[in-house]
Amino acid sequence: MTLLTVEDLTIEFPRPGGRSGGTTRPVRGVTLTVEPGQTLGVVGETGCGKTLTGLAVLGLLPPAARARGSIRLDGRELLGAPPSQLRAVRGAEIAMVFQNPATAFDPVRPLRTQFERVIRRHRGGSREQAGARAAKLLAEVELHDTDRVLGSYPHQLSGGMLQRAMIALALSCEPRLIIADESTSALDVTVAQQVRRLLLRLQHAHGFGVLFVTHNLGEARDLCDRVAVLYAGEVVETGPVEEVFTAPAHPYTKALLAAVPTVDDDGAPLASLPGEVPADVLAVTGCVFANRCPQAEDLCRSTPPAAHTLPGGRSALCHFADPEVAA
Amino acid sequence: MIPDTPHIPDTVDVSSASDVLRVQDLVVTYGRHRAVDGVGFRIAPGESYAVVGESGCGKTTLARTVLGLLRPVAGEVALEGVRLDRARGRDLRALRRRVQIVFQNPFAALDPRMTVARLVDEPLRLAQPDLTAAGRAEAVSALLASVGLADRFLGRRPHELSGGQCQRVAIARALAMDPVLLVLDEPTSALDVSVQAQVLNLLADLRQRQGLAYLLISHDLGVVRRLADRIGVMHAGRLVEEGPAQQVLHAPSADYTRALIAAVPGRGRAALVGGAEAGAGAPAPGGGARADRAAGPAPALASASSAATAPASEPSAPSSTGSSQ
Repeated sequence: MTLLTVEDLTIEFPRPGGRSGGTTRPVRGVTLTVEPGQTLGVVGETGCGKTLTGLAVLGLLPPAARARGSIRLDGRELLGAPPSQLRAVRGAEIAMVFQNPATAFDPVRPLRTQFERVIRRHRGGSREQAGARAAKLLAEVELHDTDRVLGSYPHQLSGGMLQRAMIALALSCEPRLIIADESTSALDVTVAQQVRRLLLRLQHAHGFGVLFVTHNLGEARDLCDRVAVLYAGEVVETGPVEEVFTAPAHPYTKALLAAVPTVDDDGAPLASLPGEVPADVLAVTGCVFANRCPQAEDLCRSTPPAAHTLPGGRSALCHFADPEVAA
Repeated sequence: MIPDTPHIPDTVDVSSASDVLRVQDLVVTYGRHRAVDGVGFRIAPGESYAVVGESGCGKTTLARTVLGLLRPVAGEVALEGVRLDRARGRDLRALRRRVQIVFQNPFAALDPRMTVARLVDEPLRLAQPDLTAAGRAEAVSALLASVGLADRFLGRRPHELSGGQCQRVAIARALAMDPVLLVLDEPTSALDVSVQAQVLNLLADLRQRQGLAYLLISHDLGVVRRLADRIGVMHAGRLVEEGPAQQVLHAPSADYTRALIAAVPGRGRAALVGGAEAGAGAPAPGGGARADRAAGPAPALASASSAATAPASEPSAPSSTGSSQ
């Protein structure tokens, strides 16, 4: 059974005095699935809606946000579920690893207290039992000096150590889904690589599914089974990671991949994407990418595209989804 | 040279007068901590030199010293042959104009209350005090045009601009001082991928058009490959490797450089799992099955596997031990 199903998720914020009925809609009709033990990458640039999508799954949207659609964990509806039910799910069944571990931990309490609270909240038991479990978890994320780490305040540990500890905390209740939002972006390159390796190893051992939110395409390629590429609040392409990266079907995915400078560069100017995301996507009549798309035709400017299903479990939100892929 | 170049004959070093920047045996300390510990390198006119390394390696301290914002405890920093580390007062201020910096976060680098026109006009008043208001307005337009911004941006304030546009304004401000050397401190790491490409193309283009030299500080080897002629790899305050960009990236001689290169993501899961912990030249999976650049983001350092075994064609010792005059 599919672990997580996000179906036609739309998130709206009131915008006093704004156009389009006074609302913004930063996430529009997003559909995603995460299978048990698999990693789905949600990739895109600033403002594409990837972080909001992750927060919606956790029921952590800002109070002003209105979400509709469906978010199901093992078939159980989470969207609109009462707060008490969500609290039981968060931490126990779905855990989150944030971008910046230095701000995700409470700065005024030693790690031991923070581990004990989470473990006892969801699993009960004595402080001693919780402490023992915390030590075991830290060893699993390769922090072996467990007494020192548990006795430390967040500021006494390095970013890499803290992110490992955050992962250990996320694992403390054996969640079936981990939402990782830019979990290595604040780390140095060599440390980030160690954390990516650690995540893969732990996933192999524990079998949790991951919703991996990132702007880093290389990182998505290393960690994910499938990816969903978001642009201006919509999933524009989805499919198995290698296929999407080697033969992108949507013009935005193509442009994004071509814009990344690589170590093997030949020095030719990078293909940069001209223009910007429309300021008010709700005012756009056709495809929201049409104003930047090199392949846009009249149809694109007049009619919004539907998601085209392509072979190999792929789909693209484009009138002209690459025929080579479709063939 | 600009008219008000300081003349301090005893500090002019004739032997390296052709270098835009010469750093030699530089030591910068914070208390007992040696943040920069015996670093030396040269940047020729129009050359782009990248310093790569991770947090705390000393690269930002190095950049601040080159800007004359920090004083070294030992060693030399010479700008166009003039000793920056010895200059004081007016001479130091005049020298500093020749080096400008573009910071990582363009939103933090621009005064939010100023319009684009004023932001670019401000350095221009310093650089060319004799210019009339009309002359300055013309120069502001020309500077903005050189970074790809039209006149319609003149009246906007930073919050009305995107990150890429802000960074263009920051670059225009730096250019207004007519520098010989631009220090680029992680110039695109706060930008989105598509915008980063635009700014990288602009920086490559500006260098060609204006003959600027760059000191690029970055941790992103893809960015470095794009902008740098030569690379110095910094670790714990020292340059552990230095050489032409191609050589350092494709035939690194230092273990640390190899680890940095191996840590670039995007070679696929098999490479990540299969790579040795130190990451020295993990073989790329699928034998670098990358058709063209549009097909893969951070592809396979196809040469990374051979790099581990290839003999470094030149030992490329860090030039901190290089010749002194």
